[in-house]
Amino acid sequence: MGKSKNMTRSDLRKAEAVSALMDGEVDELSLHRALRDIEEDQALRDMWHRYHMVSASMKNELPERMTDLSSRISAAIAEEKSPVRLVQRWLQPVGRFAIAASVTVVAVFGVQQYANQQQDVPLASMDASSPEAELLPLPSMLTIPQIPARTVSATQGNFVKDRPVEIKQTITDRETYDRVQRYLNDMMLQHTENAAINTSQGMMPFARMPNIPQEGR
Amino acid sequence: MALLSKMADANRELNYRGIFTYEFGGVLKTVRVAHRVRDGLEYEKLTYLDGPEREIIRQGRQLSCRRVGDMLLRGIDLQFNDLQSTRLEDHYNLFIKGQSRVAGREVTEVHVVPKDAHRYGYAMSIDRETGLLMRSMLVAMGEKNRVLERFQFVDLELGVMLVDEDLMPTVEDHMVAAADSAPCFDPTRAPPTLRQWRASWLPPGFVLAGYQPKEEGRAESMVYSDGLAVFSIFIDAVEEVPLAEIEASRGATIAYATRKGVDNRDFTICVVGEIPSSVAKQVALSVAPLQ
Repeated sequence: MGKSKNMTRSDLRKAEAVSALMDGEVDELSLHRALRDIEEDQALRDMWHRYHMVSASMKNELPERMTDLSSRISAAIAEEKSPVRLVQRWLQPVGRFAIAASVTVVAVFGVQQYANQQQDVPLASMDASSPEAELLPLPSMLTIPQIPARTVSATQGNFVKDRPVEIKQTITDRETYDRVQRYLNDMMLQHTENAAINTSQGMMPFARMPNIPQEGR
Repeated sequence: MALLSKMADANRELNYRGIFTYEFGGVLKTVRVAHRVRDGLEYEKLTYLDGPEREIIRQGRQLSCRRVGDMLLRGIDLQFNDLQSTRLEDHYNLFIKGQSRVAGREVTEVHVVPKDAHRYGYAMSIDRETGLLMRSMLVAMGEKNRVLERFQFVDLELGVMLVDEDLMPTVEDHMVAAADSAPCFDPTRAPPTLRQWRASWLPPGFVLAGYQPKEEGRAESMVYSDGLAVFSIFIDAVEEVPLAEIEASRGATIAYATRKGVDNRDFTICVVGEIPSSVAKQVALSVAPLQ
């Protein structure tokens, strides 16, 4: 402790964190870490005090009696909601997915060629002795599907990319196509939920879900 | 059948943590799963490991609650209204294909082959020790069988001590799944009564597993299962589908939507499920208002 001459990389990081803390440039995680470091390291504590002195003297507000603000901040934070509790606020007791039909989809054109990519695998030929490679669908290594040309940003703004539903019928009108995509996605999501409840595969059916939109964006 | 029954229990009763992959048509997703049972309730969390950060949480599902699909998978003969009796083995043949290894664990390979063209087949790998489903492939039967999708554990820890935090969401973008929106199976109670619509044709072996009357912002929906496959019917008054019919798919999930005019009003009827497209179409076209 207290060795301030040859700073290790870790010390340097901590010093930078304290500096950032002074400048108010830390996120919550770094804040906690920096405060912990300060608490544990006399050198950092000294540094923290020096920063405060300098800062205060520059602003002509040197306190009459120096106090360790870091411990007070720590105490204040301890009384605040912990990160876990912060997260819990999201845990609404909703009975169903709160997914608006209008924000469930990315509609992308030009990817109809995805159809029929699944490889043929005869179930009858499967047995434990045959090599796995013969059993499984080969990923289409040599015909990597094109990256969707563009995502359609409709009224709701941010969409998350995922493969669109393949529609057999040709829809030339873009607006109609988007609408049908959204509708089908919503139905598929609702179905996925149904399937996860009604099968004994646990939550595996949820893996089928397309990317969902970020809430509240 | 005992194997499938054991599997149905294992998937719900064990404490485990692992990573599984989900593949369809060249797409591969990696998902971490944690499953814990405490005080007779199931707690689950799925974390998508690639793409946008997402989590799905399911909490407080009653372990004792068995649904129609569970019962069918357990090989229990369900009687509905004394009219319909159905068992899984009426519709599938099961073949034990031997032993193999998945995620470093010994598994039994089981092929579940449908007896008719109304459903898909499954190639399942079931953990020998615990019965957990370690790998599952959905297979469209035909002259050339096609694998439509594959779930597979790549890593699994069984009997791990999971604490509450392990089952809590850690990213903002998470969803809380319905814990118990479908009723538990209760043989003394009548199955739910359909209120407005019904499908006059259903593939044999599929029974009503859930029913959601029309509610704000959501269509009326029905869920049918034969114990393995599940499909949903949605009836919506909103004119969502501007075409006479839409056939669509993503991975193993297909959708067939059509419009139906009743009393000068147009309704959209959509059947979604992991079933052959032709079956979905037949169901959708048979949906009509109850008299």
